[in-house]
Amino acid sequence: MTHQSADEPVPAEESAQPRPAPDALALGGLLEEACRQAARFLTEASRAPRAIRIRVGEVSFDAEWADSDGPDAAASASPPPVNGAATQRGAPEAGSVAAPEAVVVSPSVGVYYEAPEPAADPFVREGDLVRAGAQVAIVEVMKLMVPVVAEREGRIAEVLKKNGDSVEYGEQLFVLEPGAGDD
Amino acid sequence: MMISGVLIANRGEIALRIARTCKELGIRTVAVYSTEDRDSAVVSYADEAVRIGPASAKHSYLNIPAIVEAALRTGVRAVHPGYGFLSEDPDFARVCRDAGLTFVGPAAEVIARLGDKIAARALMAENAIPMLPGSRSPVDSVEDACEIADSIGFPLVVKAAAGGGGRGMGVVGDRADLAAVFSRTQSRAQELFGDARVFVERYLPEGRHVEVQVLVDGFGNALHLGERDCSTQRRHQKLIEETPAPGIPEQVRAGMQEAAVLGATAAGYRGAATFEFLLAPDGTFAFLEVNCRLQVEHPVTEMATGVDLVREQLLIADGQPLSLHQEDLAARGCSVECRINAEDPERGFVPTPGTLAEFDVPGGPFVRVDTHGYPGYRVPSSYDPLLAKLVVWGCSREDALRRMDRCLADFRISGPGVRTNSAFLREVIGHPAFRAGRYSTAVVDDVFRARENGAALASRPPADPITAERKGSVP
Repeated sequence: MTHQSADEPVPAEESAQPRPAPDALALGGLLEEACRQAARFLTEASRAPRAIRIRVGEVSFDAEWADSDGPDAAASASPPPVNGAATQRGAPEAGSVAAPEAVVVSPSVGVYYEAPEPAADPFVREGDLVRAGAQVAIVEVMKLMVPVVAEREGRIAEVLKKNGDSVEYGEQLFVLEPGAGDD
Repeated sequence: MMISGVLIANRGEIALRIARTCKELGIRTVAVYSTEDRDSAVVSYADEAVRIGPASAKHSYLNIPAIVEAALRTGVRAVHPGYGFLSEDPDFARVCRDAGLTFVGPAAEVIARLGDKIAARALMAENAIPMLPGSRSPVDSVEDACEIADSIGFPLVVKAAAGGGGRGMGVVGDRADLAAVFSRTQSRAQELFGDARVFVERYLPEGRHVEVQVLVDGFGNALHLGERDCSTQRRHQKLIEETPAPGIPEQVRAGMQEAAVLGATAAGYRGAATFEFLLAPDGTFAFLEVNCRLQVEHPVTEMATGVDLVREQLLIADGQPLSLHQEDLAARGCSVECRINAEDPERGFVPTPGTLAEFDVPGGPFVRVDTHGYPGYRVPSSYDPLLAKLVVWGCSREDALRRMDRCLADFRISGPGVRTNSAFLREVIGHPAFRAGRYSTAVVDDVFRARENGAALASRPPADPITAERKGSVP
């Protein structure tokens, strides 16, 4: 056991020893009683517990509540530098440019191509209207051409990549302006 | 060093551990990660990071085209596979080679041959390495299995040729169960590995699992770095590993070490390998399998020998001859590792992913913690629950175990829904049979049973009002 302190979860453990196992009816009654006692404990406790466990025989129920200024605040933390590491890296998350539902992202790590062949016209240009399921680009992964399709209808508001750019999985390729299908 | 950049095709603590050695060698590092791992420590630690896929390992850490593409586009010359995932996949080694990348590990053909347990057994038998009595070729039918059983006796074990690490095997206690276990293992092997070939071997319930660490360079120089005892397991999952293996006669130890070096040389191995042996109570040992990669428990060997195994792997992959000599290698004292998992021993060891509110790593002399955890880190649910490897060194086994117990107590990990096996590990460490060094998997079962039989009851806080009331009405 770790040290108990005021910040520790308050363990409210209900335990019974069904060996030999009582029949289902008795167990059900026991569980009901345990829950009633736990509910009473919750209302009468001087402060809200962080955790509660109800256990009857093989059945256990666990609930934990996050501290309002404790774990939750920590949850949004980014990793600390690991012994002198550099800054946060990686593909920009959806949301840094536009709402996630209004972007087309890369289906794979690879090389972005705007057109079906080197000399051909691009699949789409800024301002073009696209239908759901329309191909808008290609991502090449180890000589495999993976089509990029728009998952929804909309207008290409912005092309974010240049032909031949390296892209990561989930990286944003286009900003799609939804609800533009009426003109 | 010809290798200027390495892509680390792994995640979690091992990705970070590899990146650290690369940094010491002045090698540029590229991490790959899944969407689920975007906050993982290695992503910010590495010089570059490439997101290769979604949470599902099949589409990220097992996605060969995505990983090779990431290596090519970041301009690295080599790929380190770590352990698990693609580390023992001959196809991955082959694709890397074909793409002009140095795979940090043995050749694809060697991985394929040693990964096939029947082929590996045949090779070791040719080289007079001790083997358990059993079949030398695949056993196709129950009739054939019965015939072999007549000559080797019971109990025996049916194993998948493509299996390993406890997967795809079935123990047969007596003749009556043979047919059923045989067919079940065959179909399970087909389902798990797409390869239904099985073989039959004598089973030793009291056997200890002892493995020897080997290094071989590209010039035929081979040496060993001692052994590790990994007998403390729960359902074939290792929990505690230590070196040296306690209570083994010197000539048995030397015999295993010699066999491992011989076997690695015979296989044309290059890199770091682990030879697993089963050690019988009578002091005889038998070859089990070869692991063609870095082991999870490699730090215990590093702590006792002072050799950085990842560094050696990289130097060998770079085409350099071994600079170590067998006669200079001497393991000192005793080193022990505990695997801290995010799991709940009180609920059948179910994984307990969640956000770490508190993650306070133990310190002090001769303590090493390999972990990717930090306060605020969200332990993902998509991967294995290994959260940290706690490794200690001591001048004696007793000294090391005392230090381990202290460190387990000092290690503070908590968060909503998060549980760890720390307390369980302390009970195993404190078990008289473990302390005496006379142990097998039975110790873990014993601790587990003791807990189930109400040990958990004793740890309840006495002032708990519900408990107090409940006591009166327990039948």
